[in-house]
Amino acid sequence: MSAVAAFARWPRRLQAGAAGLALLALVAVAGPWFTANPDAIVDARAAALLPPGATRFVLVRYDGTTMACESARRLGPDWVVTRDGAVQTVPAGTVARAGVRRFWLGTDTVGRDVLARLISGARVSLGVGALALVVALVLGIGAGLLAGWTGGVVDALLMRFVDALLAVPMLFLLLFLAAVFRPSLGVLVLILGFSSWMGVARLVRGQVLSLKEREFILAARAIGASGWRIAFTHLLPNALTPIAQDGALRLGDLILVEAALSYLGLGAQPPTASWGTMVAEGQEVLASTWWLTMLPTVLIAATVIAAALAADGVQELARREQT
Amino acid sequence: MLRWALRRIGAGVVLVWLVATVTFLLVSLAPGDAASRLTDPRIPPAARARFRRDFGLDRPLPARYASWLAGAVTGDLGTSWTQRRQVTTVLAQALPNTLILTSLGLFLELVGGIGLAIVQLRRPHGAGDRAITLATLTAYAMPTFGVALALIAVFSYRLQLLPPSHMLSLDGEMAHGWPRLLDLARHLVLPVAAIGVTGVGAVARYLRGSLLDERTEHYVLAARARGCTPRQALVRHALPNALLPLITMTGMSLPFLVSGSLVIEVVFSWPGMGQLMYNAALGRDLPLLLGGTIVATVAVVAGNLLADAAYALADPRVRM
Repeated sequence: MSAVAAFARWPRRLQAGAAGLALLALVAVAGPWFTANPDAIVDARAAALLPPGATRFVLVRYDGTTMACESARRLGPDWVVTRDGAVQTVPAGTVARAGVRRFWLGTDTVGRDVLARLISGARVSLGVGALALVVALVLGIGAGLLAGWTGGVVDALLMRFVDALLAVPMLFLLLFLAAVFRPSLGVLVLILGFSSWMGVARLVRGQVLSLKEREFILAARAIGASGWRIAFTHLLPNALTPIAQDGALRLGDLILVEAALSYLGLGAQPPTASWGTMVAEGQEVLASTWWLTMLPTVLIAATVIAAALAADGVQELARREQT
Repeated sequence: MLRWALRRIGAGVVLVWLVATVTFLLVSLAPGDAASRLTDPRIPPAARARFRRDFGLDRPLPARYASWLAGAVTGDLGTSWTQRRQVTTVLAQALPNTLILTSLGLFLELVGGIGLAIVQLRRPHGAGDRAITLATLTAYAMPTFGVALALIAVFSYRLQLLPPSHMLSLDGEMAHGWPRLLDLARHLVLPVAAIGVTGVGAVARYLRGSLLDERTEHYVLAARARGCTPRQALVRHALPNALLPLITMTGMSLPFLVSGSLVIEVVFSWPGMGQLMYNAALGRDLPLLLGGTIVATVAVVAGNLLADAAYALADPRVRM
């Protein structure tokens, strides 16, 4: 069966969720190549808090500064521009490039392009969430397989350890770790991953325990397959559905936690754009330019919705295959 | 029953001790200490040394741990480095503020979630069900700070109906009795709504699923056969069974009562545990962080214990 045919047979929710996540991932990976530098301040004075769709005449000067002008005209050796309501002249010899630029979603409080920041923020928010999920899955699947397959003392010790970790008030701990390490994005991924693997471990262990007694596993043992081989070619593939479902939900959770940490100033550090930091940056002008906080909020919600739909869809697919 | 309770409480105490110890080690071994907050280069080294001595930071780690543990056992959690007050006093001030906020939020999310799920089950897969499913999915997916800021933008800035921050206005702080309570209630509306909105989605989504499953069980069909209306069968027969796992869910979410409203408290400048811990983490306030972590861990352990006990009470099949 071709991939397209398989996709067509999926439950509608799984299609919607998977397509949404794929689209967001595409934007996150490829988007930043097509947009302006998200951290570049176009013009802190004359281009701050522009409304969506605003256009400005932008002069890029040889010293690296940029000027956003309401209008500009070449007059002999000078550019005569209106900037922030005032007319001024700029020697044409200092201007490297000039052109009209449209800010599709406006600019933020210090005059940066919001669309470019949202797209590069997608890379940070989704990337940190996805990589943290990988860390949690590797740790959780490893611990779950080990505990479930080995049993006995190893199982008891590992699971008590998991219980204890689950009882730790994670948010306090995350907060503290983030405050101490002022995390780089890599550290953030590790912190989030290490705080989230326990649920995966419990799930995988439960699956292993119930699969362990089935005939096909006994058969595999009878023909002398090694523990590793059984774990990765027999146990894991059969536990894939609940792991995928849990993983999709976990991805949404991790993105929400990353957003919260970044919002609190303890995740991605400025000037790096992440959806959480963008909300915090827009908050001071919430009363007037509310879209600065609401655009990233909506994107976070859309991502989590897509993940939840995918999780629901995986469950539905499994139920359909059972009957 | 008594033996079960004692064993669980004993295990809980061990767990709290473990968590406190791990946190102590983490906080102590992390690079830099509270004195490194004194970043001003004009502060003479002697003052730095005195600061370290005053707070016992010049002693070796085991000695610090031993004296901290000895104090903690007797209910003395030391002095906060940033607030220069007893940690127990600081926590005792913040805890009620958080509890009032989160217990109301939890109540709202449970009542709202159960109500929505029942409405949805009236005609599953109908237009109303679909609309509510979409709404609860969206509510579940919204980041809490986003909901909070949207509420502030609409109700505080646009409509100017409700205060955007703090627990009491200046007038309210001076007042007593009813005016003070009214002022508190006005300040509570938005943060409680923010907690409720994000929580209601999870509860309703979960409960709808389990009610759908219960609906086809034989005992519900039997109730229908005995002449129950669909509504009676749903509310009196299916709902109690569908609610059982919700007890565990609620018990697991009890730590939320202490720590989960952190973001909300920061957004609304609410003087509770969450904001306290946020500032303690930023200020490397070791005693306060430890104290707060212990309170939160006790809440986790107590929550699980209560949930198990409530489960056993509600479900006669479970015996301890």
